[in-house]
Amino acid sequence: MKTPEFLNSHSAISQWLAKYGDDMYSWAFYKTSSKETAEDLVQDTMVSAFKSYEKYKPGSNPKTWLYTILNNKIIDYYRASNTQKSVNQTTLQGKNMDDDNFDSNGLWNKVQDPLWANTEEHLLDNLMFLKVLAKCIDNLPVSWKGVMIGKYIDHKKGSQICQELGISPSNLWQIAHRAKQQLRICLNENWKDN
Amino acid sequence: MRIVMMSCKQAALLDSKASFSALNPIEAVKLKMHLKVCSNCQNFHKDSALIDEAIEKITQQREKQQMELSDTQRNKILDALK
Repeated sequence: MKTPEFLNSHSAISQWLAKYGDDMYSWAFYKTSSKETAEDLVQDTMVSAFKSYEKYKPGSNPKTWLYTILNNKIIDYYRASNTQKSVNQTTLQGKNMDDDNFDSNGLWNKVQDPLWANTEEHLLDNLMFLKVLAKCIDNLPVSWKGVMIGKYIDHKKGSQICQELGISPSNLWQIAHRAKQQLRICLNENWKDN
Repeated sequence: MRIVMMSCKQAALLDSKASFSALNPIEAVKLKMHLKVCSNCQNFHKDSALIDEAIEKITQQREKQQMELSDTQRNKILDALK
């Protein structure tokens, strides 16, 4: 036998899902680039909203309330990705960029040619280059994407990204630095200056 | 010279750090000195700035796609409410 409270909150959440579900799903996808993850996040949000329905202030905008929960879920998702694969470890898919790039004296292993020597065309106007870069970004580990989204989509300060992802500032730079090196290698391999 | 010069590995890390937070004056001077004499790190520095700019451009261009939950997805979410 369902209680009236249960039925009441259940019908409210159902209505909200019908009304805001697509927008929430789109937003979560925008922030995570994964349909499955986005769906999970919307579901987690609705379950949380259902469980803490008594915290919703009647008359206030339900969308605002739901988005607050959703955004926290997105932060949690990236935060979890940092604890699962401890970013402080030098292992990254069995690979440490610094070991590949530098010798034991901290010198570059090989001559570092610039990605782009042609001064006539601006690289940022080259669609092919941007396409390859986007592909390279897709291949980065989730924990790195959290940092990138904080910086480039949300334009957050370093300290705020650290707080949200539960990492230290030096972790943040290490992640950014490794991502940078990996992207540069990926671009060198997949995009030819021609 | 050795005391003030840092390795390329350290210089490259500082270079990445600089895009998140201001370097302290000592770090900034050390990086500047290193970049003056090291063409490999100059190239890393240039590429790094270029990648930063390109990522900025890609994220700005990326439009927010309007997506729809299917009925199956909706029912799955409703089933989870217990």
